[in-house]
Amino acid sequence: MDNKRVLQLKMTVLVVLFLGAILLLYLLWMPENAELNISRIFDFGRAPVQTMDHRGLLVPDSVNISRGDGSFTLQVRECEKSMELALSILKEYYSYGFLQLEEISREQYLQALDGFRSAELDFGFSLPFGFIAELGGFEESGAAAELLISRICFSSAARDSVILVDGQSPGFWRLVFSGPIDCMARFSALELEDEPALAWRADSMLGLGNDELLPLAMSSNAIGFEIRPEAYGDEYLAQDMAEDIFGDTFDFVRRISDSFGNVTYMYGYGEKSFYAGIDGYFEYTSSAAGSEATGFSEDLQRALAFIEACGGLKKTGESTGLRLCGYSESGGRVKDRTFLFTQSFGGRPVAVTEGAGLKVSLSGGSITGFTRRLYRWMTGLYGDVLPCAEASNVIASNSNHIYNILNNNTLAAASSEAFEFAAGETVSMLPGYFADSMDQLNPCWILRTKDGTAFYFDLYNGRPLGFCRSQL
Amino acid sequence: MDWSKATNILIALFVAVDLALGGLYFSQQYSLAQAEAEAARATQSYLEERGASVRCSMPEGKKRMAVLFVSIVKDSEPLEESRFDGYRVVLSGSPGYRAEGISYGDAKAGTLSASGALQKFVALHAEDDILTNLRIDDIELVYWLDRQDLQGAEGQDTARPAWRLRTSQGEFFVEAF
Repeated sequence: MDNKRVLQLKMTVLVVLFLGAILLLYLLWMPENAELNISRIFDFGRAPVQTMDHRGLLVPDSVNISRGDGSFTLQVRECEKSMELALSILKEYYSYGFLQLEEISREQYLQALDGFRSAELDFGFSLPFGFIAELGGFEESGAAAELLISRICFSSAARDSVILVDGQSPGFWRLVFSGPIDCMARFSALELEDEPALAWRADSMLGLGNDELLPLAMSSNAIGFEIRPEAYGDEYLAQDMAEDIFGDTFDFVRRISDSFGNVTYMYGYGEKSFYAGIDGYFEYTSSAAGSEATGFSEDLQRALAFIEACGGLKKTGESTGLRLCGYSESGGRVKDRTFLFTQSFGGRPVAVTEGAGLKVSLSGGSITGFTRRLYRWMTGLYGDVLPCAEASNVIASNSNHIYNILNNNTLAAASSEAFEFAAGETVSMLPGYFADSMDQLNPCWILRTKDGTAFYFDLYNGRPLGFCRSQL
Repeated sequence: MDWSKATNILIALFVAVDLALGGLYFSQQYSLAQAEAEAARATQSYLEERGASVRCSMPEGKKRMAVLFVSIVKDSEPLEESRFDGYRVVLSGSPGYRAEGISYGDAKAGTLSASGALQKFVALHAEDDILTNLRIDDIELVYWLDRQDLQGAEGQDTARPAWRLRTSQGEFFVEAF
């Protein structure tokens, strides 16, 4: 045998011995129940997911501009521009120097808004002002950071101040700064393509004790069109989500399918369960609450990370924009938090049969609940500009429906009683879209009441399309 | 460089490493087997103290098994339990229904040995009267699904390996994962 052959043989023996050493190491250190799974290491065939923009998540439901004579214009599209402007104004105020935080009365707030030129950003739900400071890139670490606010108001009544409102509690505060800014000049200079709608206080329109803003007359080119549940044509979405949730234990979780094809994945005796409906509804629950004292931003990041890890957001046309549309917190140092997110189309929120398309609950920093019903559409449709059903007429013609739902009552109330009740309970009425169970996206009025219930009415004829009780 | 000499040294080194790792692995396995045998003996003597007896041979060794996806079908006439790949597929808590194996899950995991299952059973019932004068007639590894939570529903579900203990007090199942 020549030297070359001997060397080749030795190299072969060496390779065998090396592989043998690897195998023995694997046998020695492998946990008893472990299983090598190449598909987990090389994740083939997953669709790319969209990275969510933290900043773009918060968009006001409406921007209410007051002329100072009691009338308002209601801007419901392109609110992102007003949000950016508001953040830059707040940053400038903070650069002048923060002087004090003082509580004001509801009357003072209404006077500053109605009696002077003013701009109010209404988010439709309350969230910590500290998060807005974080978005705006200015530092607010004092008492204001902890305030839960749903509206930010700038008024020419006090150019050195910003008014913060918690519409839910309710509470009104004034932040006073060292320098004045002519905020209204900047809001007036905003170039908006959309024509804002006129709005008045509900009491002046309906003659009742409700000082929320209602649009007076509005026209729209929104029309209904067909949409698809995000799982449509993606047979692996549910399994991919389940794999992401259960991780290494996925192959050993209980998988239950009913005769319709809905699947429930269950770990242990229901400690964690994940439901994947064939209609595109997903729900995850976990009894494993955490014990960390996390903050709003940290929990929001965890919620977003969970959404990204659990199905993500597919890059499909216009249907990817997510907005934060609801928030609640409870508990002391260790908090339970729930975030609601909605898809949007044409700058308007898309409500689904459950209310918000995405809901993530955390307890002590751990995800304890998640619901998801998202849709996709490649291109949206618009039609001719038509007058919308008048908000006051929609409330009047549906007051019995609203009364019965809110009172869990099937008996008809007297018309005047039902109307007074419905008008008094209305907190906001804004245009949006409602995705019904027939996979149709319908332009609608979204009427919200004090207890968090949302009613959906056809935008043009005011007929009821559905309703959803508070998810928080 | 003398490649021949270098490979000789490397071969010697790897032989030594492989021998050491092999020895370590086998001694680890031996210790585990010894510990298990010792625990089994302790369980046996504990059972005897409580007046219980094992009247069957104990299956030996551990298996690596996957979960089994099953179809739940109506079973109007009581039939023999279905089998899949030689294993009985047992459905509890859903009278009038039967589980039929469809396919295995993708991954396998180690299961409890029969003696391990017996220890788990004893530990679970140490405070009960069940163990007193208990006679264990048969121990068998089966695929088991308890569907008390979904009684009377057809569809698909997941059965997991379990040890079935047939005793004088009835049947007991001990999950094998």
